[in-house]
Amino acid sequence: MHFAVKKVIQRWGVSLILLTAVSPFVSFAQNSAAVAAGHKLLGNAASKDTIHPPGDTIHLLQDVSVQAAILPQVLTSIDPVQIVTRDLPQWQDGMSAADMIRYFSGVQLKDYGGVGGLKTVNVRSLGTRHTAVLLDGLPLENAQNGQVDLGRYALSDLGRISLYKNQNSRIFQPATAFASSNAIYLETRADPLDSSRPAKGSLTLQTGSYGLTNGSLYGATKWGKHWQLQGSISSLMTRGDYPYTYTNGVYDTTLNRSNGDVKRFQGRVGLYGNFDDSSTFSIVAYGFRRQMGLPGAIVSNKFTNRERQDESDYYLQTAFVKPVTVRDKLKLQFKYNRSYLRYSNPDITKLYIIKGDTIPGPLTNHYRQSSYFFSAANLYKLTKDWEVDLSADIHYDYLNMDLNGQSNPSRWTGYAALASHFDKGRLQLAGNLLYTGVYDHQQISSDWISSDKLSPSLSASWQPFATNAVKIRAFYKKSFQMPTFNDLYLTEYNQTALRPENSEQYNLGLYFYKNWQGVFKTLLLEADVYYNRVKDKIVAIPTTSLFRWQMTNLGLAKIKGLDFTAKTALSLSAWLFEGTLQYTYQDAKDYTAPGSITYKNILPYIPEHSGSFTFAAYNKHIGFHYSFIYDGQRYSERFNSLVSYVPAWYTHDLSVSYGWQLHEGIKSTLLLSLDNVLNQHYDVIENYPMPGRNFKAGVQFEF
Amino acid sequence: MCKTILLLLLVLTAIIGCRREVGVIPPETTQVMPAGSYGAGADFYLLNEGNMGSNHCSMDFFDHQQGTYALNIYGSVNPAATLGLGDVGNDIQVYGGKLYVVVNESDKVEVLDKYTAVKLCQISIENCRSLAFWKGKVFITSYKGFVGVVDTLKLQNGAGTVSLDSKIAVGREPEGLAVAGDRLYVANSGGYSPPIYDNRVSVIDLPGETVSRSIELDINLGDVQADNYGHIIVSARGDYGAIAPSFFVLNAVTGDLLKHVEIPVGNFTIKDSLMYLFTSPYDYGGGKNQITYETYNLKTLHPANKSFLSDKAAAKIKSPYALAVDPESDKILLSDAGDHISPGNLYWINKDGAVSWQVQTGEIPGHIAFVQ
Repeated sequence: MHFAVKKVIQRWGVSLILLTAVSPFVSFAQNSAAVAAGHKLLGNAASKDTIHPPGDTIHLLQDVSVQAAILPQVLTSIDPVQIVTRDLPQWQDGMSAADMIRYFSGVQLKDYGGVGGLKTVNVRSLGTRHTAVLLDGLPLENAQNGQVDLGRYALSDLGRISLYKNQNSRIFQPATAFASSNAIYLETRADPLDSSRPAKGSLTLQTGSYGLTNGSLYGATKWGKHWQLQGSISSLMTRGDYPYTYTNGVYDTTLNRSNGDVKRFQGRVGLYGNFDDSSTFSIVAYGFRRQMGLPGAIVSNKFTNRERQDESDYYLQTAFVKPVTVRDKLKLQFKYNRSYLRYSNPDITKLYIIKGDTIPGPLTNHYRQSSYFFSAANLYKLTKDWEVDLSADIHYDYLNMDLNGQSNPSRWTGYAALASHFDKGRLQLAGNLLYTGVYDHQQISSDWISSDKLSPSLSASWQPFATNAVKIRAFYKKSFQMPTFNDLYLTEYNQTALRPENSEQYNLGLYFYKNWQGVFKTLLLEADVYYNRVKDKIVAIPTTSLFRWQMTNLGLAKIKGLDFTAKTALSLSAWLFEGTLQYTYQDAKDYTAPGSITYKNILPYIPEHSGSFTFAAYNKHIGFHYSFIYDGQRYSERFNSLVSYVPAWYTHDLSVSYGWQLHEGIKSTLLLSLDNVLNQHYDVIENYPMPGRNFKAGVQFEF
Repeated sequence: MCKTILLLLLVLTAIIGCRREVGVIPPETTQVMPAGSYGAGADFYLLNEGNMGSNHCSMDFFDHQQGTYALNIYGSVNPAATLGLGDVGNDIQVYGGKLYVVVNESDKVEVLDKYTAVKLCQISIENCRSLAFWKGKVFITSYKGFVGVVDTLKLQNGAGTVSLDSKIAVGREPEGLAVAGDRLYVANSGGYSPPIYDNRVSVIDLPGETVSRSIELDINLGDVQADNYGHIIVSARGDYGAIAPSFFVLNAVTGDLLKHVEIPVGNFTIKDSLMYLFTSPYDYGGGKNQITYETYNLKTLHPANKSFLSDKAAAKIKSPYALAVDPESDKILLSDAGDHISPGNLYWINKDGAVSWQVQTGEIPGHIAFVQ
């Protein structure tokens, strides 16, 4: 039966990919006049591609005077979206993608502290595994545990980060992008080049508290008429030995974090082609290496930890977009990803069988994951206002682990999505139906793993008044997340029949945007209320033995929430002032077992109130930036009590920048920043202390 | 517009205003039964293990005369103990005038006053698991593959952190241990290297502090307890799959194997001639196994063929964990760890197998020490 399913996935997958790939070419024989006409007809749709370099939008952003402007994606998106770009002053100060995601509303960043600490994101209390993270349009995969560590992705290498609370309403994308409850899109930096500026580069150097040194180099150049070559390298090092304090009012202990050192290197080289018929091609190679200590939880009498992690990641990704007829566009994408992780714990001695001998040694696990991803998407313009897309993807993941007594799991996943996007000026409608099929090679007794599933999503937005910038929007989405390899096959866990996690989302929002000439420039107000239901959450539960955990599906959670954003800009003589306020209210409760002590308790690590406020004032040379982040009180466990209570935290960060023309063609910027100004000691995750007051100084040269 | 921003700032400041720190958490006392209604019995401490990494290990106290159960007493009694009791409690026992608490992930054994639970000092020992006592000495198993020894005379108030007097090397990841005569029986699990488990009991000659014998039983040995009939009971936990748990009865003097009993034992306790046990749903891959609550006669070495828990009571319990019998009466104490991440429950079982009383405990109620 399982084999039959595998066949079904492969057969369906291959035929869908063939179908999507071939259909445009069937009509390829149409004359070139029609193709040319098609370009006109398609108009803006062409700029909606995620293929780099995107051109216009980035151009807009580069211009300081329109920095205050709201990005067009925010204005045209059907679903709630938040975007930050390199132009956000805090960007230059951040270490990784996670540092920017903190500024989004509706998001809880789980941060285990320090530069190396795991940083995952939980959007609208649905749980980490419900958020897809896509890099340049293709999903970042972690078949092992389903969570992407956002602390890995250096900001120096990125150009833009977007959070879609449903999905990207540009439907011309891989089917996988429709599969999660919400999605974070990371886009690599791609500065636009033209004939007047055929090459560009930048060098950034940064240093700061706790032995931080950070350097990055970026370069882009035109190569012939159609090609652009670009590359970047960056390195980061820190000792991570920041002081932290724990107190209960009677004892008061201050110590330095140990084993928090991190070395991180990454490099990327990409070749991008833009051709006369509007087709684009890109090929990107990427390498990443990180060596670090795992500082561990701070518990009574134990303030050091000796676990280490060494990981590397390589991928090759290529994309090809071709408008084949007036109405028809094709996108093909391929990615090969290889990752390696070595975990060691010298405090645990384990027996290893080496050439027939049992030899004791420190616990060392190696995980090697290979992923292949192939996607075909075909966008077809039915009428001037209506586009449909058929996308089909195939993933193959293989995990090689050297844990005793386990073979190596592999998984085939097939996704196919039929999506529709209707845009009639004031009314926009979008929807899709997603098919998912999964086949695991190492099959355990679970009917779910081998079954197929369909999940729908619907979105709408409507501008009630022609003259006004008021928009009403709504969406509904149903999605599910498969158990990961960790859930199913890791030795320390018992093999269990698991069902996938299910989520349902309902959202209703109001949006207002207006811009003016004069002192008061722009105002954007957004408010969304939502209701989410998450069923069968996959959790690990210890058994009577420390060595064995059991994975189980747990109950039902209901989440009611509100996200609010206000964004404004003012200009006064040569100064520009910008302010952004984000506020999130969440009522996230456990509805698993009526009558039990955890019934209607607040879900772990979900604050009722959270928010951020940023303010920037700058002129041609000088900039002042302030940001404030607040996370309300939370509970670390299912049962809410004083024992599991985690106090609220807030940080004030300040920075000042000075930009000047160093030399003909060389622009330089100096940035000084002071984070956590009030030196508040806090935990985001219980027993994982965060850094107190710390400083950074950096300089950037652009040429 | 400036006004709007100011207003929003004001709202934000109002929210910020409430950063409440907890400080010292006071104990929560529950009147489980009317004072004096418990009858003959003993007070006890219950150790809640707490989840690994949570630092939520806690201790409760039951006063049998008052009929009160005080939840989470350690913090208020010892507010100056940095970060409290610690991470993952694994054993608790009374010896002489002192109470010993093994805190596994905190690498320490807390030494407290038996009656007040005031901290006197602590023993520093890595990855410690279980306790036994002999002639004024405390013996502690460590997953580092040894039994640590400390003279309890050293463990006085103000002694600070006491290090081990000596270490006796045993097998891999030793768990339970029990004294019989001048011998100490130590169960080795080998749990860090599945499927290469350890299967030996190390017998230590106590006066010489040397391993005199190694007895091969079955894989993944767990608990060891001595009875009054010259027996040592050793449980084996199997491999959580095809190999089922069971227990062995050894001659306490010679160490010879008397009987291998193929009951898939989870936890057990001994009172007089009876061994009380519940079975383990060991084969997690093969669906749910029914947990049974049984007694085994140690005098005759035969099952007593009677469940100590009524079906009605058994239906209430999701994940049985701690098991003990009041030494002054026949009341059975059985804890339910529930989902292992939320507070559990403790049940008092009467001789008919029914629940007399129950109370909410801390996270993962695991071990009970009576104060006599």
